[in-house]
Amino acid sequence: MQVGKTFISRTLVLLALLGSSPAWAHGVHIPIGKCWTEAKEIVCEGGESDGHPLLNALVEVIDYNENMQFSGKLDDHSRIRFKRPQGEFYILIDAGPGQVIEIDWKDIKGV
Amino acid sequence: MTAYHVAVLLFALAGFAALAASMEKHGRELTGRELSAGQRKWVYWLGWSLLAIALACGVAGWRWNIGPVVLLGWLSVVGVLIAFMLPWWPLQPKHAPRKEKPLPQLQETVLSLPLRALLVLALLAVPSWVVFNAWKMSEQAVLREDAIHGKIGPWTFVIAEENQDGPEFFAGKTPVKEFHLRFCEACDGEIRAAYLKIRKPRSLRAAGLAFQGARWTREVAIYIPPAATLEDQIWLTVESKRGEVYHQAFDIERLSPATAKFIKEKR
Repeated sequence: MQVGKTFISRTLVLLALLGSSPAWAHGVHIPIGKCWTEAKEIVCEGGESDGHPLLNALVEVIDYNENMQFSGKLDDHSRIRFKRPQGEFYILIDAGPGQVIEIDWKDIKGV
Repeated sequence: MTAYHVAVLLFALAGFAALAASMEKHGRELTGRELSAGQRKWVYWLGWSLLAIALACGVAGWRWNIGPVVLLGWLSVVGVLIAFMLPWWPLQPKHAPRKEKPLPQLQETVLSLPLRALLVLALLAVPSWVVFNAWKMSEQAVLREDAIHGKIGPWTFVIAEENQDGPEFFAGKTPVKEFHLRFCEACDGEIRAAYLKIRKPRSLRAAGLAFQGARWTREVAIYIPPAATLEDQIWLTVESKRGEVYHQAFDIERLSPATAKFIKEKR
């Protein structure tokens, strides 16, 4: 029966490895971000889709008339904090050419 | 090409056989007699020379990048062939049947029924799962029937969702959906970049994520904004090498019914 136990545990491990979808997920590697409000401020957190932080990425807050309201960089925790601009605006997190994501004010929880 | 394959196969076979014959035990089995140390050394270097010739054939046929790979492939085949052929090789010396006391009968391990059922199930499930995934992966999205054929600026293109499932979730429940884009063969070289996003782009910089891929088919994964609606549409932006920029919007329901369903249910 000892043989059986070793065998079944190995089989189960193998099945678990085969079945775990992350191991088979193909490389989706994009910047992602989310924002939320804290008091009168907005906090945004960037990151990569594989869970890595997005350090030092440029963040720009632009109103709907294309005027820059705020600009800064993500800190060591991939976060940035700024005062909520007046009116309608959107946030760009710039992780490089073609890797710019946009977060609209409508996407921010609590605005 | 067949000639090269045959050449690599035969030289690899001869090389491995010679190497086997150069070993004391296998030499006896293969030749049916005892070989002297000098003979074995000679056969040993013959084996390596034959393998070198097999490599040369591979390189002649497929150059240095693929040639060694072809050789390795045939070496595996030949190695297995020789290993399983040895016990049946007719020249090997006959052993006198050994006189041994019968060993005590080992108790046969019998696995319990649920365990056996599980193993049988796994034997069936794993290959079918692998085959299913291989089949799914081999399907080219832009060749599917639901792919959209269109024209943007002077260029014709095909766009399609990578698969017909809803969005996948990454890094803390961020819904992400993948799309494929292919321009016409003549157009492809004129395109500098193509971008995709949900909602109308406000500027070229905010045109979304760029399609990637060195191959003809370009791929992109875009995230579905929390407040996205079906009216936002999916916007394709194409920038040419001459600097022209074109936008085109697609109904989410047309491009990806499953994503449209996801957006509708989220609200």
